[in-house]
Amino acid sequence: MHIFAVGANHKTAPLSVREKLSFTPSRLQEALRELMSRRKVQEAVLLSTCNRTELYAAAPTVQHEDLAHFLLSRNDLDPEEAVGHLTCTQDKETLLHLFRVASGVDSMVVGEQQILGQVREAYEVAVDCGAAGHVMAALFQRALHVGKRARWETEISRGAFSVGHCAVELAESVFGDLSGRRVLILGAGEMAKVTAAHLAEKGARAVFVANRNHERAQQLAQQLGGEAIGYESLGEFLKSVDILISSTSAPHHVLKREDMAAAMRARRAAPMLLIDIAVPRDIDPQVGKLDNVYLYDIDDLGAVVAADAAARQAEAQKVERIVQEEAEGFMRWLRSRAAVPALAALRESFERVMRQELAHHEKRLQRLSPHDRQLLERMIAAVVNKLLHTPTTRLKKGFLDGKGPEAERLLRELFGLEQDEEK
Amino acid sequence: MSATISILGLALLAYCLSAVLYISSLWAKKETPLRRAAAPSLYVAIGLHLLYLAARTAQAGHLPLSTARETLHVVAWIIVAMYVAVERRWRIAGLGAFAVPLGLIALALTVFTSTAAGKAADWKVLTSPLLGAHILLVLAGYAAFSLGFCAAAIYIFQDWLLKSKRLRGVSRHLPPLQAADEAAYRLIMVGFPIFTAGVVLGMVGAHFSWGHVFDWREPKETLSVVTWLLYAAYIHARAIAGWKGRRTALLLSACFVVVVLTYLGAGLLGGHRHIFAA
Repeated sequence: MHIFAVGANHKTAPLSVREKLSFTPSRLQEALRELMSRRKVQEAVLLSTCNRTELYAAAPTVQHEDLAHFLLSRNDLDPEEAVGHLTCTQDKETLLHLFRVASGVDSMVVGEQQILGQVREAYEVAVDCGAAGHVMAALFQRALHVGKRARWETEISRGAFSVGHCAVELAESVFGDLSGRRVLILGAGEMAKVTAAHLAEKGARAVFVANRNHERAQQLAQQLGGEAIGYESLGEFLKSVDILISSTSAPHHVLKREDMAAAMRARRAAPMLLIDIAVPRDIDPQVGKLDNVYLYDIDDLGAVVAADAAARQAEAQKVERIVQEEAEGFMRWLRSRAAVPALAALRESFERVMRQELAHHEKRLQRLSPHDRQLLERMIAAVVNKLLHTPTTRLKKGFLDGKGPEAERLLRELFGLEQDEEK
Repeated sequence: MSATISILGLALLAYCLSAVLYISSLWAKKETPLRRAAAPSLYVAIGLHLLYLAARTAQAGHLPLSTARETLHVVAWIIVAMYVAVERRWRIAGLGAFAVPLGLIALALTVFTSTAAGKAADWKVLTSPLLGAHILLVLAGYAAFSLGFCAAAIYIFQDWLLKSKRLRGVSRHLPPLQAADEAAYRLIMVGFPIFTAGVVLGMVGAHFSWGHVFDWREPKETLSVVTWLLYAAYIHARAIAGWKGRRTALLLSACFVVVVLTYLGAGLLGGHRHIFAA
């Protein structure tokens, strides 16, 4: 059994590709069900967050190409262009990657907490869809364990910030107390929503949402307990809001220097914080040169975050040791699992003999009291188990030492176990 | 005499220690016992300094306000003492890292001044309560303006940190822009009436001594009027015209430059009433 994965994340693909690759919860379930119905892989888990879309699978053979096709067929990406942004891993590489993801060292914001919950959720959804079996269960439980270990045993998450936390900290550096601050959201992206939610948690009250698609603006406004406003009244609102979060998918600058300069005059230079998490950028970088305007784009936030990450470099190394150790342990488990079909066949053959013998002596056994009969059956079962114990451990060890296939062949030959019996 | 000198030496030592601790705590990652010693060492310094000033008063038989050196001592003491009071009430993070060094600078300036009493500073006038009150109030006004400048400097520093996106470290230990702006305004609102009262008392004194309240040939008086007008303009801009942000902080810094000029520079420009030995 092999474990392998195909995916794109913030290190391999730009936001524009990631956006298109990502799955909404309902589409994710649908996709998983379809993938399983194709019966090419035996188990699968799909992890889709704003920074990554990764499809993990288990099957007897590695099928990167098939998974990649599947991922790309689910959206309107140009396969030629997108395929370069996908990375494929298998076996230990896949484990290492997933464990790093769960530990938060692969996140844009190193050490952030959210990802652990997202990994758990991805696994639970796969279980609900019937896509996760023994291997994925073991893999993801191990990944969650690694994530917890990393956070308990190292200080990787100490003072870690998500983009939302960063935004809150910036806002607090400018305004201090955020209660009653007015927030305007441009565009209805997921990141803007999360960021606004963080600000709202700190007491920012009036939230306005402007989006070209008014319906989505209304949806988001409702979720945040705010108000949707028309795109055309943006100029008016610039004069009165304190914080602007922009995440439209517009290809050009939505906010130009002249507009902002005019707004600042009307504001009598009251400070304003602009957070532009859109790629490409929504706000002309020149806007940041205006007095009392504090403009941060995604790279600036990334730099803030990177400064933090640098301070945690040593911690990341500790995490890497945990990840390596756990991946090693899991690989052993996975390799020893190669012994499972032969061992199952062996057990099956032993149990068949046991059942046959019991059936053969059925008449005489009827004379026994129910209690004695139970005792006898238990005894035979114990004998079977004890006989199986040594070959089980030996064969598993054989697979760890690389002598597995040879030992398995011998075992099958000696006990007359057919190869196709377990399939 | 040597006892008072050694008291001053100890006070200076405590001031230096406190300044170093306050400044270093801007870069601190964690609270350490050493850093918590910043405030106590400042209290010790203020106490010792006050003891020194009291000893000087006892020696001279009047408040030590007759030389530039003496007024610098008093101003330095009021700056740090006022800082302690303000810190207790308003809790302005990082202000100590600016206020305590500023007090130290005022003390350091005493090195460049002589101890000789000014020739025009009339003994009898100096001991009069009216003149003593005039000088003390003006000095207290200067001190409040200095603290206001510290808050404005914090604003400008924080603004620079935010603009240049240096958000780790120092920025976290400084107050938010809005808080720095408000602290500056409050401090000026404390200093302005005190300074105004001091100037008015000076005018009253001038009226009794020389028969007129104001003399254009006296640089200190002219500059005081400029100072008063500038701070009045700041208060107007901030409170009535609704100015905010960096501009008000820069205006306050300009105001402070004029304060320093009025306080220390005016003597160099001549005049006769406010001459102390420079």
